[in-house]
Amino acid sequence: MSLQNVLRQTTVQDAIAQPGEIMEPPAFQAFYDSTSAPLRSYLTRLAGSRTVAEDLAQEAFIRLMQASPRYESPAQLKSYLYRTATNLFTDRWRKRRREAPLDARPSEPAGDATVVDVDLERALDKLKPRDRAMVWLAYVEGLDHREIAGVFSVHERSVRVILFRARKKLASLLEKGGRS
Amino acid sequence: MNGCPREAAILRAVRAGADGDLSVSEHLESCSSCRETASLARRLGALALSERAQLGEPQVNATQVWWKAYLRRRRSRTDEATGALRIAELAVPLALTVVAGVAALLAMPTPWQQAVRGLLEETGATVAGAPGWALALSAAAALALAGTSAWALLHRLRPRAETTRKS
Repeated sequence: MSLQNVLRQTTVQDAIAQPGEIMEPPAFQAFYDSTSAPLRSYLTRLAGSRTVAEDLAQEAFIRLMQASPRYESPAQLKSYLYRTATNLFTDRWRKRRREAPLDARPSEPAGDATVVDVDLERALDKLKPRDRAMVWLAYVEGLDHREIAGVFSVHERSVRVILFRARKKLASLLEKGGRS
Repeated sequence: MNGCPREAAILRAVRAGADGDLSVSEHLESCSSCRETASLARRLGALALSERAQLGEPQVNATQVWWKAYLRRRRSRTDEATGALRIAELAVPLALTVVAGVAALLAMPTPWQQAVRGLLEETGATVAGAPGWALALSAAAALALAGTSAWALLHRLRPRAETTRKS
Protein backbone atom coordinates (compact mmCIF):
# COMPACT_ATOMS: atom_id res chain seq x y z
CA MET A 1 0.00 0.00 0.00
CA SER A 2 1.40 3.37 -0.98
CA LEU A 3 1.97 6.19 1.53
CA GLN A 4 -0.72 8.23 -0.21
CA ASN A 5 -3.22 5.43 0.29
CA VAL A 6 -2.26 5.09 3.94
CA LEU A 7 -2.73 8.83 4.49
CA ARG A 8 -6.02 8.73 2.63
CA GLN A 9 -7.28 5.84 4.79
CA THR A 10 -6.14 7.63 7.94
CA THR A 11 -8.07 10.76 6.99
CA VAL A 12 -11.26 8.82 6.33
CA GLN A 13 -10.69 6.77 9.48
CA ASP A 14 -10.34 9.93 11.58
CA ALA A 15 -13.45 11.45 10.07
CA ILE A 16 -15.70 8.46 10.64
CA ALA A 17 -14.53 8.09 14.22
CA GLN A 18 -16.83 10.97 15.16
CA PRO A 19 -20.36 9.58 15.22
CA GLY A 20 -23.25 11.86 14.33
CA GLU A 21 -20.99 14.53 12.81
CA ILE A 22 -20.84 15.20 9.10
CA MET A 23 -17.59 14.09 7.48
CA GLU A 24 -15.06 16.91 7.03
CA PRO A 25 -14.56 18.06 3.40
CA PRO A 26 -10.95 16.78 3.02
CA ALA A 27 -11.89 13.36 4.35
CA PHE A 28 -14.97 13.26 2.16
CA GLN A 29 -12.88 14.30 -0.85
CA ALA A 30 -10.52 11.39 -0.23
CA PHE A 31 -13.38 8.95 0.26
CA TYR A 32 -15.20 10.26 -2.82
CA ASP A 33 -12.09 10.09 -4.98
CA SER A 34 -11.47 6.49 -4.03
CA THR A 35 -15.05 5.24 -4.33
CA SER A 36 -16.85 7.40 -6.88
CA ALA A 37 -15.60 5.73 -10.08
CA PRO A 38 -16.06 2.14 -8.84
CA LEU A 39 -19.52 2.98 -7.52
CA ARG A 40 -20.60 4.60 -10.78
CA SER A 41 -19.22 1.63 -12.67
CA TYR A 42 -21.15 -0.76 -10.43
CA LEU A 43 -24.36 1.22 -10.80
CA THR A 44 -23.92 1.50 -14.56
CA ARG A 45 -23.60 -2.27 -14.67
CA LEU A 46 -26.79 -2.60 -12.59
CA ALA A 47 -28.92 0.12 -14.14
CA GLY A 48 -27.59 -0.06 -17.68
CA SER A 49 -27.52 3.72 -17.92
CA ARG A 50 -24.76 6.15 -17.06
CA THR A 51 -27.17 8.98 -16.38
CA VAL A 52 -29.13 6.89 -13.90
CA ALA A 53 -25.88 5.65 -12.36
CA GLU A 54 -24.68 9.23 -11.88
CA ASP A 55 -27.92 10.22 -10.14
CA LEU A 56 -27.96 7.15 -7.93
CA ALA A 57 -24.30 7.52 -6.98
CA GLN A 58 -24.76 11.16 -6.05
CA GLU A 59 -27.82 10.35 -3.96
CA ALA A 60 -25.99 7.48 -2.26
CA PHE A 61 -23.14 9.78 -1.21
CA ILE A 62 -25.58 12.39 0.06
CA ARG A 63 -27.51 9.80 2.09
CA LEU A 64 -24.28 8.43 3.51
CA MET A 65 -23.29 11.91 4.64
CA GLN A 66 -26.71 12.58 6.10
CA ALA A 67 -26.77 9.34 8.05
CA SER A 68 -23.18 9.81 9.33
CA PRO A 69 -22.95 6.13 10.19
CA ARG A 70 -20.54 5.03 12.89
CA TYR A 71 -18.10 2.56 11.40
CA GLU A 72 -14.69 1.38 12.40
CA SER A 73 -13.00 1.20 9.02
CA PRO A 74 -13.17 2.71 5.52
CA ALA A 75 -14.10 -0.76 4.24
CA GLN A 76 -17.24 -0.73 6.38
CA LEU A 77 -18.08 2.76 5.19
CA LYS A 78 -17.64 1.59 1.60
CA SER A 79 -19.90 -1.36 2.31
CA TYR A 80 -22.53 1.03 3.72
CA LEU A 81 -22.24 3.17 0.59
CA TYR A 82 -22.81 0.18 -1.68
CA ARG A 83 -25.76 -0.95 0.42
CA THR A 84 -27.34 2.50 0.12
CA ALA A 85 -26.70 2.61 -3.63
CA THR A 86 -28.09 -0.90 -4.11
CA ASN A 87 -31.23 -0.03 -2.16
CA LEU A 88 -31.68 3.13 -4.22
CA PHE A 89 -31.35 1.11 -7.41
CA THR A 90 -33.79 -1.55 -6.14
CA ASP A 91 -36.38 1.10 -5.24
CA ARG A 92 -36.02 2.69 -8.65
CA TRP A 93 -36.15 -0.65 -10.45
CA ARG A 94 -39.32 -1.69 -8.58
CA LYS A 95 -40.96 1.64 -9.31
CA ARG A 96 -40.07 1.42 -12.98
CA ARG A 97 -41.31 -2.16 -13.17
CA ARG A 98 -44.67 -1.11 -11.71
CA GLU A 99 -44.94 1.79 -14.12
CA ALA A 100 -43.82 -0.08 -17.24
CA PRO A 101 -43.72 -3.84 -16.68
CA LEU A 102 -42.73 -4.63 -20.27
CA ASP A 103 -39.80 -2.22 -20.20
CA ALA A 104 -37.70 -3.99 -17.59
CA ARG A 105 -34.51 -3.73 -19.61
CA PRO A 106 -32.67 -0.41 -19.56
CA SER A 107 -33.12 1.66 -22.67
CA GLU A 108 -29.64 3.18 -22.69
CA PRO A 109 -26.65 0.90 -23.42
CA ALA A 110 -24.17 0.47 -20.55
CA GLY A 111 -21.10 1.17 -22.60
CA ASP A 112 -19.89 2.63 -25.85
CA ALA A 113 -19.04 0.68 -28.96
CA THR A 114 -15.56 0.02 -27.55
CA VAL A 115 -16.63 -2.82 -25.29
CA VAL A 116 -13.69 -5.10 -24.69
CA ASP A 117 -15.53 -8.28 -23.83
CA VAL A 118 -18.86 -8.57 -25.60
CA ASP A 119 -19.35 -12.19 -24.55
CA LEU A 120 -18.89 -11.34 -20.91
CA GLU A 121 -21.25 -8.35 -21.16
CA ARG A 122 -23.86 -10.55 -22.78
CA ALA A 123 -23.40 -13.28 -20.19
CA LEU A 124 -23.65 -10.77 -17.32
CA ASP A 125 -26.89 -9.44 -18.76
CA LYS A 126 -28.34 -12.94 -18.57
CA LEU A 127 -27.93 -13.01 -14.78
CA LYS A 128 -30.61 -11.74 -12.40
CA PRO A 129 -29.89 -8.15 -11.29
CA ARG A 130 -29.12 -9.24 -7.72
CA ASP A 131 -26.78 -12.05 -8.86
CA ARG A 132 -25.06 -9.69 -11.29
CA ALA A 133 -24.57 -7.15 -8.52
CA MET A 134 -23.15 -9.78 -6.19
CA VAL A 135 -20.73 -11.06 -8.83
CA TRP A 136 -19.56 -7.50 -9.50
CA LEU A 137 -19.06 -6.71 -5.83
CA ALA A 138 -17.18 -9.95 -5.19
CA TYR A 139 -15.02 -10.15 -8.30
CA VAL A 140 -14.47 -6.49 -9.19
CA GLU A 141 -14.86 -4.54 -5.95
CA GLY A 142 -13.34 -7.26 -3.79
CA LEU A 143 -16.02 -7.23 -1.10
CA ASP A 144 -15.97 -10.39 0.98
CA HIS A 145 -19.03 -12.58 1.56
CA ARG A 146 -19.83 -10.93 4.88
CA GLU A 147 -19.79 -7.46 3.35
CA ILE A 148 -21.93 -8.56 0.42
CA ALA A 149 -24.37 -10.17 2.84
CA GLY A 150 -24.57 -6.79 4.58
CA VAL A 151 -25.25 -4.99 1.31
CA PHE A 152 -28.15 -7.26 0.38
CA SER A 153 -29.35 -8.04 3.92
CA VAL A 154 -29.04 -11.79 3.37
CA HIS A 155 -27.17 -14.57 5.14
CA GLU A 156 -23.48 -15.01 4.39
CA ARG A 157 -24.10 -18.62 3.40
CA SER A 158 -26.68 -17.49 0.85
CA VAL A 159 -24.10 -15.18 -0.72
CA ARG A 160 -21.67 -18.08 -1.07
CA VAL A 161 -24.31 -20.25 -2.76
CA ILE A 162 -25.59 -17.47 -5.05
CA LEU A 163 -22.05 -16.56 -6.11
CA PHE A 164 -21.19 -20.18 -6.78
CA ARG A 165 -24.28 -20.66 -8.96
CA ALA A 166 -23.78 -17.35 -10.73
CA ARG A 167 -20.18 -18.22 -11.49
CA LYS A 168 -21.19 -21.62 -12.88
CA LYS A 169 -23.86 -19.98 -15.00
CA LEU A 170 -21.43 -17.36 -16.27
CA ALA A 171 -18.83 -20.02 -17.09
CA SER A 172 -21.42 -22.03 -18.97
CA LEU A 173 -22.67 -18.97 -20.86
CA LEU A 174 -19.14 -17.90 -21.74
CA GLU A 175 -18.44 -21.34 -23.18
CA LYS A 176 -21.36 -20.74 -25.54
CA GLY A 177 -20.13 -17.24 -26.34
CA GLY A 178 -22.46 -15.45 -23.91
CA ARG A 179 -25.62 -16.87 -25.48
CA SER A 180 -28.08 -18.97 -23.48
CA MET B 1 -21.79 -25.94 -3.68
CA ASN B 2 -19.31 -23.61 -1.95
CA GLY B 3 -16.27 -24.09 -4.19
CA CYS B 4 -12.69 -24.24 -3.00
CA PRO B 5 -11.79 -22.95 0.49
CA ARG B 6 -8.87 -21.03 -1.05
CA GLU B 7 -11.12 -19.17 -3.44
CA ALA B 8 -11.11 -15.91 -1.46
CA ALA B 9 -7.30 -15.90 -1.27
CA ILE B 10 -7.02 -16.63 -4.99
CA LEU B 11 -9.44 -13.83 -5.76
CA ARG B 12 -7.42 -11.40 -3.64
CA ALA B 13 -4.24 -12.48 -5.42
CA VAL B 14 -5.81 -11.98 -8.86
CA ARG B 15 -7.12 -8.54 -7.91
CA ALA B 16 -3.69 -7.59 -6.56
CA GLY B 17 -2.03 -8.89 -9.73
CA ALA B 18 -0.20 -11.54 -7.74
CA ASP B 19 -1.69 -14.58 -9.46
CA GLY B 20 1.71 -15.32 -10.99
CA ASP B 21 3.12 -16.20 -7.57
CA LEU B 22 4.33 -19.76 -7.31
CA SER B 23 1.90 -20.90 -4.60
CA VAL B 24 -1.03 -19.36 -6.45
CA SER B 25 -0.13 -20.70 -9.87
CA GLU B 26 0.51 -24.16 -8.41
CA HIS B 27 -2.91 -24.17 -6.83
CA LEU B 28 -4.52 -22.90 -10.02
CA GLU B 29 -3.01 -25.79 -11.94
CA SER B 30 -4.59 -28.31 -9.62
CA CYS B 31 -7.95 -26.64 -8.81
CA SER B 32 -10.46 -26.20 -11.63
CA SER B 33 -12.86 -24.23 -9.43
CA CYS B 34 -10.21 -21.62 -8.62
CA ARG B 35 -9.06 -21.57 -12.25
CA GLU B 36 -12.60 -20.67 -13.22
CA THR B 37 -12.75 -18.02 -10.48
CA ALA B 38 -9.41 -16.50 -11.50
CA SER B 39 -10.35 -16.44 -15.16
CA LEU B 40 -13.66 -14.75 -14.45
CA ALA B 41 -12.05 -12.26 -12.07
CA ARG B 42 -9.46 -11.30 -14.71
CA ARG B 43 -12.10 -10.79 -17.40
CA LEU B 44 -14.38 -8.84 -15.08
CA GLY B 45 -11.45 -6.73 -13.89
CA ALA B 46 -10.54 -5.84 -17.48
CA LEU B 47 -14.17 -5.03 -18.25
CA ALA B 48 -14.40 -2.79 -15.17
CA LEU B 49 -11.20 -0.97 -16.11
CA SER B 50 -12.41 -0.25 -19.63
CA GLU B 51 -15.81 0.80 -18.31
CA ARG B 52 -14.28 3.21 -15.78
CA ALA B 53 -12.10 4.71 -18.47
CA GLN B 54 -15.23 5.35 -20.56
CA LEU B 55 -17.15 6.80 -17.62
CA GLY B 56 -14.81 9.76 -17.28
CA GLU B 57 -15.23 12.41 -14.61
CA PRO B 58 -18.45 12.47 -12.54
CA GLN B 59 -21.04 15.14 -13.33
CA VAL B 60 -20.59 16.63 -9.87
CA ASN B 61 -17.40 16.81 -7.86
CA ALA B 62 -16.83 15.96 -4.20
CA THR B 63 -17.23 19.57 -3.05
CA GLN B 64 -20.62 19.91 -4.72
CA VAL B 65 -21.84 16.64 -3.24
CA TRP B 66 -20.52 17.65 0.20
CA TRP B 67 -22.42 20.95 0.07
CA LYS B 68 -25.60 19.30 -1.15
CA ALA B 69 -25.41 16.81 1.73
CA TYR B 70 -24.59 19.55 4.22
CA LEU B 71 -27.50 21.76 3.11
CA ARG B 72 -29.96 18.88 3.06
CA ARG B 73 -28.87 17.80 6.51
CA ARG B 74 -29.17 21.34 7.84
CA ARG B 75 -32.64 21.67 6.33
CA SER B 76 -33.78 18.38 7.88
CA ARG B 77 -32.42 19.47 11.27
CA THR B 78 -34.21 22.81 10.96
CA ASP B 79 -37.43 20.99 10.07
CA GLU B 80 -36.92 18.73 13.05
CA ALA B 81 -36.31 21.64 15.41
CA THR B 82 -39.20 23.77 14.19
CA GLY B 83 -41.63 20.86 13.87
CA ALA B 84 -43.00 21.33 17.39
CA LEU B 85 -43.48 25.05 16.81
CA ARG B 86 -45.35 24.45 13.58
CA ILE B 87 -47.61 21.97 15.31
CA ALA B 88 -48.20 24.44 18.15
CA GLU B 89 -49.08 27.11 15.59
CA LEU B 90 -51.80 24.82 14.30
CA ALA B 91 -52.83 23.33 17.62
CA VAL B 92 -53.33 26.51 19.63
CA PRO B 93 -55.91 28.08 17.27
CA LEU B 94 -57.56 24.67 17.02
CA ALA B 95 -57.78 24.35 20.81
CA LEU B 96 -59.07 27.92 21.13
CA THR B 97 -61.70 27.22 18.47
CA VAL B 98 -62.83 24.13 20.37
CA VAL B 99 -63.00 26.09 23.62
CA ALA B 100 -64.91 28.93 21.97
CA GLY B 101 -67.27 26.42 20.40
CA VAL B 102 -67.98 24.75 23.73
CA ALA B 103 -68.49 28.17 25.38
CA ALA B 104 -70.89 29.26 22.66
CA LEU B 105 -72.77 26.00 22.94
CA LEU B 106 -73.14 26.39 26.68
CA ALA B 107 -74.16 30.06 26.40
CA MET B 108 -76.98 29.33 23.94
CA PRO B 109 -80.27 28.31 25.58
CA THR B 110 -80.91 25.30 23.39
CA PRO B 111 -82.86 22.41 24.84
CA TRP B 112 -80.06 19.88 24.60
CA GLN B 113 -77.53 22.37 26.01
CA GLN B 114 -79.83 22.66 29.00
CA ALA B 115 -79.87 18.91 29.21
CA VAL B 116 -76.05 18.80 29.28
CA ARG B 117 -75.97 21.47 31.97
CA GLY B 118 -78.59 19.60 33.93
CA LEU B 119 -76.60 16.39 33.64
CA LEU B 120 -73.46 18.09 34.93
CA GLU B 121 -75.31 19.63 37.83
CA GLU B 122 -76.98 16.32 38.60
CA THR B 123 -73.62 14.62 38.87
CA GLY B 124 -72.61 17.30 41.40
CA ALA B 125 -69.78 18.70 39.28
CA THR B 126 -69.40 21.95 41.19
CA VAL B 127 -66.29 23.33 42.80
CA ALA B 128 -66.47 26.18 45.32
CA GLY B 129 -69.76 27.38 43.95
CA ALA B 130 -68.72 27.31 40.27
CA PRO B 131 -71.40 25.97 37.99
CA GLY B 132 -70.85 22.57 36.37
CA TRP B 133 -70.59 23.94 32.84
CA ALA B 134 -67.73 26.30 33.84
CA LEU B 135 -65.86 23.38 35.33
CA ALA B 136 -66.50 21.27 32.24
CA LEU B 137 -65.28 24.10 30.03
CA SER B 138 -62.08 24.47 32.05
CA ALA B 139 -61.50 20.73 31.98
CA ALA B 140 -62.05 20.60 28.20
CA ALA B 141 -59.64 23.48 27.64
CA ALA B 142 -57.02 21.93 29.91
CA LEU B 143 -57.38 18.55 28.20
CA ALA B 144 -57.13 20.11 24.75
CA LEU B 145 -53.98 22.02 25.66
CA ALA B 146 -52.42 19.03 27.43
CA GLY B 147 -53.19 16.82 24.45
CA THR B 148 -51.69 19.18 21.91
CA SER B 149 -48.60 19.70 24.09
CA ALA B 150 -48.09 15.95 24.44
CA TRP B 151 -48.54 15.52 20.69
CA ALA B 152 -46.05 18.28 19.95
CA LEU B 153 -43.54 16.82 22.41
CA LEU B 154 -43.82 13.33 20.95
CA HIS B 155 -43.48 14.67 17.44
CA ARG B 156 -40.32 16.46 18.44
CA LEU B 157 -38.80 13.45 20.18
CA ARG B 158 -39.55 10.90 17.43
CA PRO B 159 -37.01 12.05 14.80
CA ARG B 160 -34.28 12.12 17.45
CA ALA B 161 -35.04 8.55 18.46
CA GLU B 162 -34.83 7.49 14.78
CA THR B 163 -31.49 9.25 14.35
CA THR B 164 -30.11 7.50 17.42
CA ARG B 165 -31.31 4.12 16.17
CA LYS B 166 -29.67 4.65 12.76
CA SER B 167 -26.30 5.59 14.23
